[in-house]
Amino acid sequence: MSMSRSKDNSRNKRWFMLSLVAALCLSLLSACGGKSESGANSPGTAANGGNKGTEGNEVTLRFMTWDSGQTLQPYQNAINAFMEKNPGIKVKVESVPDNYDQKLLTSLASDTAPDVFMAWNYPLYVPGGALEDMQAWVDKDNYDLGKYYPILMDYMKYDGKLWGLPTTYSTRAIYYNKKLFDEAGVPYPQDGWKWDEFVDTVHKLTKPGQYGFIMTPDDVMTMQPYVWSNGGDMVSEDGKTVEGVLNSAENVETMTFLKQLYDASSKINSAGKFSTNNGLESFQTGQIAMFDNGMWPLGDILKEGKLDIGTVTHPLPEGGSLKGIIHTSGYSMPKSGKNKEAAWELIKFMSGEEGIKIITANKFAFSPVISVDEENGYAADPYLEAFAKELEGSDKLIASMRNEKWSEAEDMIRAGVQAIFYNNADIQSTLNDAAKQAQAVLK
Amino acid sequence: MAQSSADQTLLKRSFRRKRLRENAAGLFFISPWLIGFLLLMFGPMVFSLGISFTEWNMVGSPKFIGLENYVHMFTSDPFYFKSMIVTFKYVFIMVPLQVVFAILIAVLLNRATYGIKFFRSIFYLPSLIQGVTLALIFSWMLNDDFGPVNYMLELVGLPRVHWLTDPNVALYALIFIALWGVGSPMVLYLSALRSVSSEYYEAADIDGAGPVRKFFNITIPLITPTILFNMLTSLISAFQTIVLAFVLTGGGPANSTYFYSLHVYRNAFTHFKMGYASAMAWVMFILIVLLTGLVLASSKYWVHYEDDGGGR
Repeated sequence: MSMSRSKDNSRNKRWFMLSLVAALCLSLLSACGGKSESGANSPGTAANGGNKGTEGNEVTLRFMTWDSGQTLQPYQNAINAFMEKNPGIKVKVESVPDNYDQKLLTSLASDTAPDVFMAWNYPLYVPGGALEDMQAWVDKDNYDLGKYYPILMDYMKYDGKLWGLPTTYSTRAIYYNKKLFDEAGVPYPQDGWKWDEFVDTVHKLTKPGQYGFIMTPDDVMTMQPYVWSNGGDMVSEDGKTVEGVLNSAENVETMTFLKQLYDASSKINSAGKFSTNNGLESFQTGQIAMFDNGMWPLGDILKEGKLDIGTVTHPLPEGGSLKGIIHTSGYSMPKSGKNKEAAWELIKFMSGEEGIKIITANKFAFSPVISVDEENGYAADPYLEAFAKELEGSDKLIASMRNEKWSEAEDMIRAGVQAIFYNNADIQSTLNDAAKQAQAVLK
Repeated sequence: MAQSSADQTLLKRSFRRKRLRENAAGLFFISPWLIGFLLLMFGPMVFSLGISFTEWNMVGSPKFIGLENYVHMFTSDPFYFKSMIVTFKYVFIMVPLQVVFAILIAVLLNRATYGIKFFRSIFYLPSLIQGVTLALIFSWMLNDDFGPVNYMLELVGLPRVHWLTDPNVALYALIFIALWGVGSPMVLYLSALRSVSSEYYEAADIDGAGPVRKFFNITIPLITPTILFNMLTSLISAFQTIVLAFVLTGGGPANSTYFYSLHVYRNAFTHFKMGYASAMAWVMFILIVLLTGLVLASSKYWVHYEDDGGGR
C-alpha cells in the first residue's frame, strides 16, 4: 500500500514535471509564433489601416527611404508640408538605413511594398515587373518633365521606360583640409588642375601618420570620373560590351595614373577600411588632407566649424574634360499599390518645386528642378561651386545603370584593380582578363 | 512451455513499450527544437533546394535552369574556389588552434591554487563578448594608426602591422580574433578534466609516470569525447563563419578574407542571384555533412568512452 502510494506519488511528480515542461514549450512556441505573425502582418495591418481610411475619405500612405536621422529630416519637413496641404492623406515614413534593396525586393515580391519608395538601382527592380510605369501618370496629368536636368532623367529610366521622378542629386568633388596644405607649404588646388599636379600634391602631403589622399581599389564606381575624363568608359553605352571598352588604351593610361595615386598616398592602409564614405572620419580628424565625396557631409563639417576646408573639382588628364559622376535617386511606386492616386500626388509634391525647395534648403543637396537649383544659387557658393561644375560636363550614366548584372561584373573588375594596386600586376593584361571575365557575366 | 513463450512475448512487448516510452520522452525533450526546426527551418531549406535549380532575383517568378547553377560554380565562377580555399585555410588553422588553446588553458585552470575561481572567471569572461560586438572592439584594437595593439608593438620597438588591411595578414588577424572565444570550449574541457577520476593518476604515480606521460596517456584519452564534441561544433561553425569578416574586412583586402559564406551572401543580397546563392549554400551543407561524417567515423579510432565496458 505504502509502496504503491510512493510509486503513485513519483508518477504524479513526473507528470507534473512533464506538463510543466510542456507548458513551457508551448509558451515559448506561442511567443515565437506571435512574433513571426505580427512581423508578417504589420505591413498588412498598415495597408488595412489605409483601406479603412479610404472609406472615411482619408488615406494613409507608406513612404520608405534609406535616409535616417539628420538626413531624413529634410524629407520629413517636405512630407509634413504635404500633409498640411492634403488633409485627406496621411504619410507614414519608414526609414530603412540598412539592407534597403533587400527589404524593398522582399516587400515587392510579397506585394507588401510601401506606396512610395526611394530607389536608385532601377536595373535591379525593373526586370521583375513589380514597378509601376510612371509615364502613364505623367501623361495623365501632362506633368512637365522638362523642368528637370536631362541627365538626371536618364537615371530615372531603364529599358526605355520611366520608373520614377528625381529626388535630389549630388555630384562628387575633392575636399581639402587647408590647414594641412598650409603646414606643408603647398598651394591650394585650383579647378582644372592636372593629374600630375594631383599626384605631386598627394606626395607632398603624405608623411608618417598623415595621408595626402585615400585611393582604394575597392571602390570601382568612383573611379568613373577619371575614366570618363580621359575619354574612356567601363562598358559600352548599351551596357552590353566590356571587352575592348574596359581594356582600352585610354583606360590603361587612367589606371596607370590611379596606380600612381595609390602608391603616392595611403598604400595598404586604404584597403577595406576606407570605402565610399568611410574616409570622412579620417578627414575630419586631420589624418587625410584630401578626400573624394558627395556634398552630403559638407553641411555638418561647416556647422561644426572645426575644419578650414575647400573643395575643388576632380583633376584632369592632359587635354581631358571634366565629367562628373552623379548620385541621384527617384520616387517610385509598386504596380500592386492600393493608393496609387494619393501616391502620385505625394511624388508630384516631393519631386516638384514646392517639395524640392524644402528638401534642398540649407545646402542639403542640389535640386533636380533647374529653376529651384538656380534660385538656391548653390552654384555660386564657394564650397558648392566645384560640385556644380562637375554636373556641367556630365553626360554619362554610371555603369550600374546600364546593365542589371553590373554589380557582378564590377566584382571582376575590382579583383583586377586589386591585383594592379596590391601586386603591381601588368595593367594591360590585367584589364584584358578582367574585361573577359566581366563580359562572361553580362553575356 | 507455452506459458514461458507467452511470458517471453509479454516481456518483449513490455520491453518494447519501455523503449518506446524512453524514445517518446527523448523526443519530447527535444520537441522545442524539433518543432522550431520543422516550422522555421525545414520549409525554407526545401524551398532553397528548389530555388537552387532556378534563376531568381526575388521579384518575379523563378526560372527553371536545371543544374546550371551547380555547373557554373565549378566551371566559370572565378571567386568560387578562391573563397573555398580561404574558408578551408581558416577552418584548418582555427579549429586545431582552438582545441589546443582551450585544453591548455583548461589544464592550467584545473589546479587547486589560491583564487582559482577568480582566474576561471577571468579566462571565461572574454568569450561572453561575441559577434558584432567583438568585431567592433577589435576594429579599434587593431586599428592601423591608433589601435592599442600597434601602439604596444611600437613601445617595444616592433613595426606597426596592418592587421586588417594587409592581404597577407588579415586572415590570420581574423583567426586571432576568433580565438578570443576560446573560453566556452575551455569550460567544457575544464568540466571534463574535473570528472577524470584521481585513481588513474594515483595508479600512474605508483607506476612512476611523469606529468607529461600522465597528460598524454591519461588526461587526453579520457577527455577525447569532449574533444570530439568541441571539434565538431567548431568545425561546423567555422565553415559558416561570416560575422567577423563581414564587419571587419568585408572580404578584403584583395579578397584575402572572402569566405565562402560571404560569397553566398554577396550573390544573394548584392547581385540578388538567389538561385545561385542557394545552390552554393547547399554545396556547403553537403560538404559540412561529409566532413562531420568523416570526423565521426574516425572517432572510433581515437575517442575513448569510459563507460564503454571493454569497447565496441
